[in-house]
Parts: sequence; C-alpha cells; structure tokens
Amino acid sequence: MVETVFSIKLIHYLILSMILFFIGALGVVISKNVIKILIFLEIMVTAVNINFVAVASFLENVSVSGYVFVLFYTAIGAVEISVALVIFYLMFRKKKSLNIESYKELKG
Amino acid sequence: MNFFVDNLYTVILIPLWIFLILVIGKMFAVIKSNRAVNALTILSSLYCLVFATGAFIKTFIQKGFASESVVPFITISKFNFTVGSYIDGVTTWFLLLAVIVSFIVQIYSFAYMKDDRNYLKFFAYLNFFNFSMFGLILSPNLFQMYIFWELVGVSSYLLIGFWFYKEDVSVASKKAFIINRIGDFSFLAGIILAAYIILSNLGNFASIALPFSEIGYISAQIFGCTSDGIFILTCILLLVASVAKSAQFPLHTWLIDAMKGPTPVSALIHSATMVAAGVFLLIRLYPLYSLSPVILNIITVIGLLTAIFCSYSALTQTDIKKVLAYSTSAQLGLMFLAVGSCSATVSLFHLTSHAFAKAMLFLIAGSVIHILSSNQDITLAGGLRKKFPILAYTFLIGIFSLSGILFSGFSSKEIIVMNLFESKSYILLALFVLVGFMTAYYLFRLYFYIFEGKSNFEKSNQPHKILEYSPALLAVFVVFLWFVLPKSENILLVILNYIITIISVALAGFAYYCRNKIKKVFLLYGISYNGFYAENLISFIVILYKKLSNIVNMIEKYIFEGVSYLLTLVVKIISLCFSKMQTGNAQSYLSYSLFIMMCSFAGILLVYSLIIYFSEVQ
Amino acid sequence: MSELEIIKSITFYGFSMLILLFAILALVADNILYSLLFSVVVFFCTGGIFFSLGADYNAVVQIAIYAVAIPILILFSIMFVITDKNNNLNISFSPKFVITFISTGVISLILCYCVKFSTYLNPNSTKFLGTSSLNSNLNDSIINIAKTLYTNYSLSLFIFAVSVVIVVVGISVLNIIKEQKNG
Repeated sequence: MVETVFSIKLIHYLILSMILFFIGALGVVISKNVIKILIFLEIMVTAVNINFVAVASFLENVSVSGYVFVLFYTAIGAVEISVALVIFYLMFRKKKSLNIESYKELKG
Repeated sequence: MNFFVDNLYTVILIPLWIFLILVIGKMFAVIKSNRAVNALTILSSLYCLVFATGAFIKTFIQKGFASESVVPFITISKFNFTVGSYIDGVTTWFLLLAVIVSFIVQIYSFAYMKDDRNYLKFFAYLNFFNFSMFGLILSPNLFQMYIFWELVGVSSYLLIGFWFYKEDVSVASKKAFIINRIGDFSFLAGIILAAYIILSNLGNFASIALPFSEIGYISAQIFGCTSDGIFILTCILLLVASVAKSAQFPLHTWLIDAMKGPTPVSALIHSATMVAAGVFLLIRLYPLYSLSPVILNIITVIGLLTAIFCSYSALTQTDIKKVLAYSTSAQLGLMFLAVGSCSATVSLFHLTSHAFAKAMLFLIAGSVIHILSSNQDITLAGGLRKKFPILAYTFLIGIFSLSGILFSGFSSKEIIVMNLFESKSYILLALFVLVGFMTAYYLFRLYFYIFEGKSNFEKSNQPHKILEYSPALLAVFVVFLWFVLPKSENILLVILNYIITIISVALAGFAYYCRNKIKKVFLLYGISYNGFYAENLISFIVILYKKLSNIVNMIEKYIFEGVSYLLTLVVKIISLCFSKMQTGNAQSYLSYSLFIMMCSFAGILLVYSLIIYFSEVQ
Repeated sequence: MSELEIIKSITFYGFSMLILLFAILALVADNILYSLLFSVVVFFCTGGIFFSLGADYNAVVQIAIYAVAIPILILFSIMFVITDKNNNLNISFSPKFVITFISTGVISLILCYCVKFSTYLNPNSTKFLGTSSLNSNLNDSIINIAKTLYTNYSLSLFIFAVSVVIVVVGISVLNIIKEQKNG
C-alpha cells in the first residue's frame, strides 16, 4: 500500500489531471462571472497539458510527442483566451453586464 | 312487347342520365333556358311511360309472367351481388302508376315552379327521384332495394327542403330524413339478419342476396330454419322500414311536416309514390309475412291505428295540405290493414286508386294555394267553384273516389270491405267503416270550405292554364281504373257503405254551414287538431334522448376526456421539463453533455462487463 | 524505496495538493481578482509538476504564458469591465451544479474502474472476479492504454479535431451567408 502511494507512477498524474479537469468543468458550469469561466477554461486546458506531459514522459517511442503537443496547446490556449476576451469585451459593450445569465441569445 | 320487357332497365338509367345532364349543364352554365329543362324532363318521362306501358301490357296479357335481368355489381369471394331489374305483374303495375303520376306532376310543375329561381335544380331533383323510385320498384333483390330505398329518402329530403332558406322547411326536411333513417337502419338490419340466416342454414351463396324471384323459397327457409322469436324479429325489422317510409303510426309525423315542401313534390312523393314504397315492400315480402299470423296481426293493428288516429286528426285541420297529409297516412294505414287482413293484391288495388286520387287532390291543392297567393288556410278560401269550375269538379271526382262513393276508390274500398266481411272479422269491418266515415267527412269538409260558400278572399291570382287542367289528366285515370278493378258482388254491404258515407257527407255539409254555431268540444277538438299530440310525444322522446346523451356526454367528458387530459398533462409536464432545460445558458448545456457522457460511459461499461461476466460464468 | 522516489513523491504530492487546493479556492472565491490570483498559483504549480516530470521547456513556457501573460491579459480586461454592480457575482448552486457534480464524480469513478478493469483483460491476469493481482499489472496496463491511445488512435484524434474544425468553420460561413441575405 505504501509503495502504491509513494512510488509515483503514471496513474497518479492521470488522476491529478482528471480531478483538475473536473474542477475546471465544475467551475465553468457554476460560475456566473464570464471572466471566471475563462479562467477555469484555462485550468481545464492545464489539466489536459499535465496529462500529455505525463504520458509523454512515461512513454518512449510514441509517434506523437506529448511535449510538442503541450507547447502547441499552450500557444493555442493563450491565443484562445485573448480572442475570447476580445469577444467578451464586444459583448460586454452591448449588454453592460458580467453575468453569464445575460447572454442567452442561444435560446432563440 | 318483349322488347320493352327486355330493356325495362333503361327506365332506371334514363332519369339518372337526364339528372346528370342537368347537373353538369348547370355546372358549366350550358343550359340557360327553362325550355331545355322541360324538353329533357318530358322526353325522359315519355320514354319511361312508353316502356312502362309496354311492359305492363306484356304482364297484363301473360298472367304470372316474371323475368329477371341482372348484371353482377359487386363480387366478394362467392357472394355475388347483382343489380338489374325484376319484372312481374306487381312491378309493372306499380311502375306504370309511378310513371304516370310522375309524368303529370312534371307537366304540372312546369307551370307551378315557373318563377322559381332554382327551376333547373328542381327538375334535376325530380329526375333523381324518378331514378331512385324506378330503381326501387324494379330491384331484383333486397340489397338493390335497400340502396334505392336510401336514395329515395335522400331525394325526398332534397325536395322537401327545396326552399331550404326558410327555417321551418329545413327543419322539416331534416326531420323527414332522420325518421326515414330509423326505417333504413331497421331495413338494413333486417336484410343482414335474413341473409345471415340464409347463409348459416343453407350454406350456399346463391340466394343470399335475397332475390325476389325466389322469395317464396327464401321465406320458407327463413321460417323453417329459425325459432319463432328470430323469425318475428326479422319480420319486424323489415316491417319497421315500411312503417317509417309509409308514415305509419308512430313514425307518421314526418309526413305532416313534409308538406312544407313544394306542392308538386307532395303530390308525387308524399302521396303517390315514395310513401307507397313502404306498402310496395310489404307486398313484395308478403310471402314472408304471411307465414306468421302474428306478423299479419301486427301489420293490421299498425294500419288500423294509423288509419283511425290520422283520420281523426284530419277532421279539424285547417291547413289544406295537412288534411291531405293526414289523409294520406290514414289511407296508407288502410293499405297496411288490407295487407294484414286480406291479401297483397287488395292492398295494391287500394294503393293504385289512392295514388291517382291523392296526387290529383294535391295538384288541385297546389292550384288553390297558388290562387290564394301561397296561403294554405282553408278558412280563408271559399267560393272557388264559380271561378274555377274545372278545379272544383276534378276535386269532386277525387274526393268521391277517395271516400269510396264512386270511381276507382269505390271499387278498392268495396273489395276490402268484402274481404273483411268474408273473413268474418266484424270488429275490423266496423272500424274500417268508421275510418271511411271520417274520410268522407274531412274530404267533403275540405271541399265545402274551399269551393262552396262565399268568397272571402278578395285578391286571387289567376292560375296558369296548366295548373287548372293538368289535374284533370289524373281524373281520367281515376275514372278509368273503375272499369279495370274487380267489382264487389255484395249489394247489401255496398248499400250500407253508401248510407254511412252519405250521412258523413251530410254531416260535413251541416257542419260547414253551421260552422259559427258549433261549439268546439275542448278535449276532442284539441286531440284532433294536435294530431293526438304525437308531435309532443316525439319531442318528449327527443328530450329524454337528449338527457340520456347528456349523461353519456358527462361520462365521455369526465372519464374518457379525463384520461386523455391526464395523458396530455403528463406529456405537457415532461415537455415543460425539457423546455425548462432549454435555458439558452451555455453552462447548462455543458452540464447536460457531462451527464450524457456519464450515462453513455456507464452504459458501455455495464454492458461490456456483463458480457465478460456471463462469458466467464459459462 | 530509494531517496529519489521519496523526493519525487513529496514533490508530486506537494504540487498536486497546492494545485487542487488553489483550484477549489479559485472556484469558491467571491471576488474575481482573488479567483485570478488563486488560478495563477495553480498555473505555477503546474509548471512545477512539469519540472518534476522532466519537461523543463514546457514548464518554462507554461509559467511564462499561463502564469504571467494570461493573468495580465485577464487583469486588464477585468479593469475594463468591472463596476460596483458587477463586482460580486457569487457562484450559483443551481440544478446544473448538482448534475455536473454528480456526473463528474461518477465519470471519475467509471474511469478508475475502467483502469482497474483493464488489468483483468490482460492475458496474464487471473479471473475477472477472482483474486487481484492489481499492483503488478496496473502500471503496465495503463502504459499500454496510453500507448494505444497516443499511437494507434492518434489518427482518430486528428480526424475528430479536423471534423470539429470543419463544423465550426461551416457554421460561421453559414451565419455569414445568412447575415448577407438578411442585410
């Protein structure tokens, strides 16, 4: 049992990333503030990154290198959040509200 | 003559053809003048007249002649339903009667309906009626008769409601149709029952359509194969059809209301032909009915009750057409009586003499109504004899005949009296004489009111010549039939009957000239004037029915609708839940997607582990 | 157990505890600025995790972008939009929270069960419901799963990504066409 807990293997990282991912999802779902939602989106991306890096470092000879993937993901995440912030700002100018409840145009 | 007999079925088709021409011509606005309508109608009637006469002569010469020419219409496995024509003495006799009356009524209608804006429609309906009536008369089996039975009802409905824009007229037409529907339903039920009995007991499909050519055999089979109860049920079901169509008690009220239609229609349909179809059916099925004395007694009682009630009701009516309508019902009752207590032939004689005389009286009534500017109240008329002697004398011929003093009515009535006397049913005889007494009274009362006395109607229309003379054409037949029908030999009875009739006529005259001095006996007068409150009785039944339907409606409303309401409520609640889920908030969609993801994961895992588990257990 | 392993495990647990703690704190924080600060801690600690995994370059990039650049970006946008009225937007415990909480929990359990379940599918293992040889097989099977996912199934991942891109692009193109028609 002690060995299972203290010798860190791939599964520990996977469980960590899973829990972090679900916390991020929970945050996305229950936050009312739009910016907070964006923050938690980033946390979710981070969880995925942990997953990638862990798998990449524990495996050899894989065709898709996890490290490179994570680099791309980081870049994409940065771009994504800047675009999302711009979009949000445009929406904010329209509605003057931070509350996600105000943005219900999807309902039709 | 064989040519006419072989091609008699065209008599059915020609009026239908003319009807279609008129309808389509109206649709495409081809026929514009009334003259074209007249020509088409008169041609079809003439054609029918020629063929009916030819066939009649054939059957008249060759006694017991019967021929059937049919084509298959519907074939359902072994059951072969044929249509066509069945020709024997009764058929040609009745067909000729119908054709003659129809012909003269059509001539009369040319003048009577002259100014009506739906002139073409009227004649299209008349032709349609001719088609259905001739089809009914010539039908070779009960199934075809049922079809035409319904068609006759439909055309009667259309013609009664011809002036449908008046509310009471449309109500009357509906009433006639609905009461006829009772009979139609019963007729269909009877046919089905009879066919079922034939099929289940004989097992062959040959006579399942109940052809009239084998009616004796079929009747014997139905009588032999069934218990008394079933046989009587079958007969009564078929009998109710006759009762409804012939306006017998207690379904006679529609005929009184049917008088709101045009008078030529009353003359043709509601005195001579259509209402006689009920008696015609009785005569056709006489071999069946005659097997059971119970049924014959029922027919007699129905006829007698109708005759007495309707004659008594006719005594005090002031509407000219109502008197004649009650009289029609009563005379049809006498025909029922004749079928029940004497024989079918006697009934047919009475039917014939009555048809001509009554059609004539109706035509004259139409002329009188026209003279009085559409006023039907006889108390307003009077003194018309001096102005219109032809009408008065033809009317006299009609009432002489109907009340059995002279002409054809005399013969037919004497035959019935003689038959009753010979069968020693003296009570029936006495009641029959009573009916004759009342008949003479109300007919002469009608005559006195309309044609005698002082004219208290200042402004009278001058009728068209046809309106004045065409009833006389029927008078010819009324007189002519006197020589055709067999004569009575019992002089004593004749004299007795004469005495009673003369007393009745004298009473009518007395009552007319002293009409201001006679007090109305309240109860007797009320009963008579309101037609034994049959109308109220029927309304009462209708109200009861309405109450019942209300109860059923409640059940329907609160139980069946409740169930369906519950179902809709459940669906509504579910859909409400789902529509609540449709928030438009992207977060909730994310949560749903997570939920669905969970469900699918769990499902896949469950199925997969179950498969592995069971594969290992085995 | 060697020293290295102990150090590794201490590092891992330290960082992961910090990550989870601050992620939850970020979740429950009322103020958006606090939330942002806690998330910065989360990103830093992720960098530490990367270090411990031996992915130094990734760790540096992670810290540079996530822990520094993005929070600044977000901070500026917060400065733009924040008002007194919008300042305090508490998290809401609506049905969607319950659904998500239960779903995420159950999915975690399912995933754990899957991993455990995969050891029984190993040809060397014992029966499905028999005695467990969990510890010896677990790492192997996880590595096998990961190998399979990241090598054999990478093509399907690509296809999925491409199809999602096509859908997104298609929707935007359709919207543009619609707007042009309307306008």
